[in-house]
Amino acid sequence: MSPRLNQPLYLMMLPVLIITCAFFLIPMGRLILISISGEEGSMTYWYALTDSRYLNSLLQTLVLSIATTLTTLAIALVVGMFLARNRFPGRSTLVSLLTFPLAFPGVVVGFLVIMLGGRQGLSAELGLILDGSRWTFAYSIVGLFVGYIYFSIPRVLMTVMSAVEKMDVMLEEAARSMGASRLRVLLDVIIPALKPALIASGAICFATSMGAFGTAFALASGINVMPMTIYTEFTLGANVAMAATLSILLGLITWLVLLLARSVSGANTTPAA
Amino acid sequence: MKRSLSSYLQLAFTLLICAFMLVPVLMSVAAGLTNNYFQGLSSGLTLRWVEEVLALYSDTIWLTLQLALATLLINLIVGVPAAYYLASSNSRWARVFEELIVLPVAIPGLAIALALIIAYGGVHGLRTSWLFILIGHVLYTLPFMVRAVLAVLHSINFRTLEEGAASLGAGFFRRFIDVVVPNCKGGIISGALMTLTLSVGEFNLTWMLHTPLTKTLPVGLADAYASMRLEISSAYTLIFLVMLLPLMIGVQWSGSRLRKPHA
Amino acid sequence: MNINEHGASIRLEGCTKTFADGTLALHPLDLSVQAGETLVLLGPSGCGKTTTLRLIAGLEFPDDGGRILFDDEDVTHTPIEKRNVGMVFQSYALFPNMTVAENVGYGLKVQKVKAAEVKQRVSEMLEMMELGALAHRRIDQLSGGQRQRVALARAIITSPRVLLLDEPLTALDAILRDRLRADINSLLRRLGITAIYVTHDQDEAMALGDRIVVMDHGRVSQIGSPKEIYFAPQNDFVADFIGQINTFEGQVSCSDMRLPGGVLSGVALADGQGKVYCRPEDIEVINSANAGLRGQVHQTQFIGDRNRIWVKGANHERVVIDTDGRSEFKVGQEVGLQIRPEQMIVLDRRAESV
Ligand SMILES: Nc1ncnc2c1ncn2[C@@H]1O[C@H](COP(=O)(O)OP(=O)(O)O)[C@@H](O)[C@H]1O
Ligand SMILES: [Mg+2]
Repeated sequence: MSPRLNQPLYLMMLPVLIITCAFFLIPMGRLILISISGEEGSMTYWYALTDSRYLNSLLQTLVLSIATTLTTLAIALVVGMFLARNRFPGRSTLVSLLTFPLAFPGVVVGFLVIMLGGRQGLSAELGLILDGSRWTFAYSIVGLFVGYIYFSIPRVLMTVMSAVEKMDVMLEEAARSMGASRLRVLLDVIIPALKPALIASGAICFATSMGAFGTAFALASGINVMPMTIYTEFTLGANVAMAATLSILLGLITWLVLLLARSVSGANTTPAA
Repeated sequence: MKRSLSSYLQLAFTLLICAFMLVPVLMSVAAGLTNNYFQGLSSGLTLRWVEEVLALYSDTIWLTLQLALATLLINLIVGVPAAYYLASSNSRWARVFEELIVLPVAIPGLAIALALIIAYGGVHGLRTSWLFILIGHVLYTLPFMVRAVLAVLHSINFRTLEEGAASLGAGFFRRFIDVVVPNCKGGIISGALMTLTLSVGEFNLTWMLHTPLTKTLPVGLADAYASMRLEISSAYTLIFLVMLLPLMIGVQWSGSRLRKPHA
Repeated sequence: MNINEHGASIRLEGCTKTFADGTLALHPLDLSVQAGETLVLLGPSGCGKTTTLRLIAGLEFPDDGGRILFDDEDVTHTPIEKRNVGMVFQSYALFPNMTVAENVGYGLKVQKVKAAEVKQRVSEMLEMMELGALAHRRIDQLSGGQRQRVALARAIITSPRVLLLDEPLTALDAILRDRLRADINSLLRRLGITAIYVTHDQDEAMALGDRIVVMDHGRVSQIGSPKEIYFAPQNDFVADFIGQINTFEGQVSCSDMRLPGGVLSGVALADGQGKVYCRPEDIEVINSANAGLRGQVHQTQFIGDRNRIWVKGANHERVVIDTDGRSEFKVGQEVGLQIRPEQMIVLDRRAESV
């Protein structure tokens, strides 16, 4: 395009830049300044990473997020392969059902977990019938795990399904013509072909889980995932510097994971609908 | 066609996962419509709880809609031109800007909310205004709008179209309005639906940014879950689902439309 | 190379194929391929070539009642991974996550051949296919022709009983296609492997096939050597589909066919309405003065080794004629046409015996 055609182009970008600078970059800068404004100064980061309370919270969140990511990927791989490869009546209804919860906020997911595993939930009723005691899992780490899987499945599934649809069926047929078993085809052909999509959607799933707040909030289970810890520091502890420090650490981790995933897979790891 | 045992196992697993997604939703819907959830459906169906929720929380519903529409308006005015800039500029700055716009999605909402409170919480009148929440929603949804439009712009040859219009004497803004915008309508629609859906369901940022006078629906839900009886929480959730339903249907419709070539 | 001398013979008996959506892709099909033979499946797009190939491969299964035999072993219900076939796909289907050498060696690896032997055999194969220098390239670093050769190498390294090729040259440009056609031809002759080659390109079919199966709407239209197919088509479809051909149709009496431009004599048809075909190169252009059949040159096209001319007025449709490249014709020029009786193609066998 000629430069003349281009002329007012920067004007198109200007409003977004102003919004991003004023409401994202400057506040983030302030957040960093606040985080080192406490008594420990910049040592606050060291403190956050060594104090057992914060470290435990961080580790718990990491383990939970990694477990969620791996489980969701496995589920999405099986279900996504099946739905993308088979045509049967009711298929599109199943796809809609599985993707509808995409828009549920974390609190609602927390409430749904209570419906399943709370004191009056489905599993409690089931337990009463089977051995006379109420089975509950909603208020333990299992409840969090179930909730995280619940809101992760739609996102990951959609990415995996569209990757499977783009996959070349002939690659599998070629491998089979050379005598490869189902397992070999899965390991040698399917997983490598889906790898960019799995990495990209896995990274998004991980990042979302790390930052998820609503589910833990609704379950009020006493499990202190990082966002809960930050919230508690800020509101109850009035320790703004520590809340800021933990926020920055959390943001840094999720951002780095997304960045890493993008450089490994070459794919676009922006959470997509 | 013969189906193998393994494909039946896969079907069973898929149905199990569907049940996992669907059953709690149905339970919640049922709870919101029964007289007494602990006695079960035999206690009779009622709209009592829904009415009670509407009486207690209708302001949250209106605020949520207002926020979603305002977010959409800003995203349209600001996001579509930005996507156009990113698609047509080859400069290194354009790539930096693209990263920058998308960054708020990578950072947990809580952190962004905290940063906003620290930076602007003291500004007179802003902290208690719904505009404060609007800022958060725009930051969070804008990347989706820009991405959706950008994807369509990358897939059509809009430069040729635009050069054609230029050769006919159309000026810059004419070309943008007459040629660029109509041709990325699909992306704008799907970005708009995404914006509405995300804004209606946003909780992480909103919980931190809200005040007792500026409660959105998800915030109200969190309140209800903590303090109200199960039937009211369920009825409230039901209202939320009803609001979300048309949006999600729209998202799926526009997604399947876009996936077809040259839609 | 350790490659079967002949491969297996193949027999299809009454193979019908109906797809899940109800499409009847193949009517009952009987086909037998001798060991070591190259059989070409030829026909327009959608006629069932790929379906037939996939039945033989074991990627699809025939409807109940159909049988597929390799030598005398019934493989009807054997899945592809147990059939020991080599396949070359139109899009090559090379594994993008493996190098050239890994692609070629994959079949051996699956058969649990020892790593050292795999390495040895792969490098021999790559040498033979002139791919030695590319062993460690990734697939996306290869040209179309190189990919094609990798796909071939990968398919034959395990010494399959049958080699199946589905339009392997269609994705290439014309020049490359001619070269690779010759390469594939000599490779197939050298290996002596049983090969089934699917194409919609008749030149390719003529050049490669020991026998050609012309297919139409899920049925076999004719089976025969390239020459039989070309010079003795058995039905209208084959006559029309293979090469350029002229159709003369008219009232016959005493071996003379009445046409708009005069009379075509020496027609081996009984009296009454009849039809004969004739190839463009079999029509002779003669002086119009003493010709039985006359017309005017409508259009000429110089193709190098020949002059192609279109003559109007002689037949109901324009007659296409290939003449010597050095001949000169002007548009509008009056010409006479002559066809020797033995060069007319007559389909109606009953009429021929008259
Ligand atoms: N998986 C399938 N499901 C339904 N119909 C099919 C399928 N595969 C092929 N067909 C149909 O079967 C017919 C023959 O197809 P094919 O064997 O691929 O033709 P060719 O290879 O000669 O072009 C076509 O009408 C095609 O549409
Ligand atoms: Mg085909």
